[in-house]
Amino acid sequence: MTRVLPLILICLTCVTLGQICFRAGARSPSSSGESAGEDDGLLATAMRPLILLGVVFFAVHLATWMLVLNRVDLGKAYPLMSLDYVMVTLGSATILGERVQRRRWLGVACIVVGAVLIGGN
Amino acid sequence: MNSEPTKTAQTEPGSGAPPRRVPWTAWTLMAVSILLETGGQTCLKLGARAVQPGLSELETISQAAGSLWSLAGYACIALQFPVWLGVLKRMELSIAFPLGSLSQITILLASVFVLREGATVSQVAGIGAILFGSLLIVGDGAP
Repeated sequence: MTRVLPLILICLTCVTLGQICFRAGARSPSSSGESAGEDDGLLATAMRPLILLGVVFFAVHLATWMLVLNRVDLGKAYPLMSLDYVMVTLGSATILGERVQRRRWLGVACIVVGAVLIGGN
Repeated sequence: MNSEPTKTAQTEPGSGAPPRRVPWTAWTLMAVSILLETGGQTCLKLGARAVQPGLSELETISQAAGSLWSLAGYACIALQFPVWLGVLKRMELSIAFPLGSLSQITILLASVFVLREGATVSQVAGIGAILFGSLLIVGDGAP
């Protein structure tokens, strides 16, 4: 399991950056000025630049993920991808300077404990 | 003044739901997304399993990436992509985020019953801790 931890770290980084692109792209209001909740077509949403950048990150993630799956069980590797949430929280606290509630830090701690329980074997 | 309730244009049966409620399409899309995630990851694992041992990293990736199981996995992931965007459009992230973690449970089930990987006590406890942590991360601060 420890052999694949660097690979999982690459996956996590790509997923984190990709998810940020997806979320920012999906939530940005449409160019026509319609209300943001309005469905302006999935294809139009998918072709936004931020979404396309997210797809690039996703492709790198996928290639690395195939290596991980080649070496360890899906049932053990998949839960470790939850560390994505930890990275986003740490990033928003340190890079973006957002205030993170104590409750969220507790959640981060729980996920880390869970990841150690799975990955420590 | 008029004590009688005014009849509005609400003729549809069962339309009494408050407008801010998450539409049923969002829940359906979420369920579809979790199923596609589980099916896709299971197929990718089957594809990665089909690779002969002892190859270099790049050879492993290209051989695993080209197997039929992996192609099925990509199909699931490609389908899941617009479905998940549809979920994010209709549902607040504070709801979608922990619900998406339910794939931890469905993938554990697929790992044990489809892939026959077997599960350890510490693995199941770890997944429990991760699910609980995901709920805490959403927190009360969300509107």
